Amino acid sequence: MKIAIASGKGGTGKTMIATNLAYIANLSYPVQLYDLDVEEPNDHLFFSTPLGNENDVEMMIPVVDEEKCTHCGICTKVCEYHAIITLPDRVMVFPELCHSCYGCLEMCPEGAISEGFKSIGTISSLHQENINLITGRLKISESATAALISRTKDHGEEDNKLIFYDSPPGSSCPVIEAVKDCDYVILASEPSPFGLHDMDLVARTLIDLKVPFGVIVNKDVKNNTLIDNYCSENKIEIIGRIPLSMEIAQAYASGGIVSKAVDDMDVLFKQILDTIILRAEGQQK
Amino acid sequence: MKEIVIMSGKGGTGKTTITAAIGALAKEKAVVADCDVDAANLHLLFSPKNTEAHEFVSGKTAVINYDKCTDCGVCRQKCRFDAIDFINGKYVIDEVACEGCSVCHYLCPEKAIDMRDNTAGKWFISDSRFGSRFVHAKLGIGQENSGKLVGKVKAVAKEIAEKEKIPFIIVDGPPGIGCPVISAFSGATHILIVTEASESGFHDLKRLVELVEYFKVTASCIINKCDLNNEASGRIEKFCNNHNINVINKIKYQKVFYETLQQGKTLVESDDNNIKEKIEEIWNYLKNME
Repeated sequence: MKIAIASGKGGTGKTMIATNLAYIANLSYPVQLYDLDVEEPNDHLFFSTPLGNENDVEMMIPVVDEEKCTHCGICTKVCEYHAIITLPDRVMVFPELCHSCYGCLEMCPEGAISEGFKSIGTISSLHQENINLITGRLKISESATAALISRTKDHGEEDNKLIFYDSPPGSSCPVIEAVKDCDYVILASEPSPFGLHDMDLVARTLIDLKVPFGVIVNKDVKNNTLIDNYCSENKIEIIGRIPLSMEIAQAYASGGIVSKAVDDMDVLFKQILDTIILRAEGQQK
Repeated sequence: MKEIVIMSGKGGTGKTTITAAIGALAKEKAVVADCDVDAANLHLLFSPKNTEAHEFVSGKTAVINYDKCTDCGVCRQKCRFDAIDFINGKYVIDEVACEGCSVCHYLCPEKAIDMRDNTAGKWFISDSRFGSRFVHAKLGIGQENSGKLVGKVKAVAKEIAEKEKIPFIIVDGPPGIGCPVISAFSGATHILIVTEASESGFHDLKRLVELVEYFKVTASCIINKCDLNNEASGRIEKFCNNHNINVINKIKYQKVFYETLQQGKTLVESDDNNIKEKIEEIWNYLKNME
């Protein structure tokens, strides 16, 4: 069973929800938690065991054999990303622009282009109690976020495990990469105009993708019905509420598991977990 | 002309709320650009008017011409993005997965695949209710190319600033450190980092500072919610000092952020003189910076 936690707006509690659900679930099942917020991965901060088993993740970039190259310019013409430029006497490759589509390599009439590699980041892991955490980490100055997310998801054995994907914020390609094959998505939201606006973007993306989802209202305040109104108008289920509380914010800020540190939060996350498992089972592909 | 880009690494640190307040103080002295195109929010506080909308055409998507297709499957075999499915006996483009690389278009032996231009979103030029020119954008649902749209918004903001002789460009940057952030660095004269006093905030700040150093731009920092974890706040301050980043202000976790946002106001429109003074200090620092 694969469950993603997404948000639209950053700072709405995505990582808090992911780490707490993983913690509560791990008391009963083996859990695999993927940190797919590869630009700013934080899940490991909530474990006492350090990350290890670091693997380099590489992407293909073209390497030009100048002996064979006739500077015909076909590679430059076919590259949609302007990542390979033919000059009169040589060919220049711009690895940061390359999408690894293999177009230049396929189209070069002289067979002068072969596979080279660039590093885009790392995948590392840790095991603590019943949780296996797998973290993707984008290399500084690299931009292949979606590619690294896809590679991180392919990492590790999944059989019979409850899988959580802590997704990146936003609503564009990295988020889609994270949520596209999930059984259920939890949308972390907060009742502010920003929170509502960005939640709407992701909700519409998920409807487009036909992935079932429900909403958790984080930083919930009595008498604030921004999210409730939206959800009832759009027939979206609210699967849990986390109150606005300095105690929760402080526990989280110090790298703590809120379910352990704050009274009653374990009960709250257990209820949320039970609900999402039911929903995901109902929707299992 | 100075271009100040506000970034955070971690989301939810108060970046946009603080950017909006600085923008409200800068008035007609700044062009404000919302480059968090994935989840743009500034327009919710800026009440844009006189809006001029433009389509953002970027990237391509493959389209199969079934009159010519012979179901040979070369396209699917050669696609590196798993963007071609085989459903009910025919090859179908997965438009979300397609990266517009054109490899299938070139390699199809029947020339049955065309590439069409994508409308990936919209960008707008408006007047904000504070008297500033305001450039913002909206990425289409599920679109890629957010980096290019960031580039577009920044280029338009710069053009306006040059033409109308406006001394500042204030940019609300995207979170993270990936493609749109890298795009937001281009042409920036200064980076203002809004972080928060939490382990996550600090972790993400460190990665952002690595990127700041990679691009060799000057930066300053605001520690928001500094009383969430005083010890982390201290470590952040020390880290910034070691990296030549001025910590120009520390702001406590306070209700005024929540309350003004609910009312659609910026921090400088609240009754809280303390927060108003802090924003003024920040704007004065940025304004008078070398």
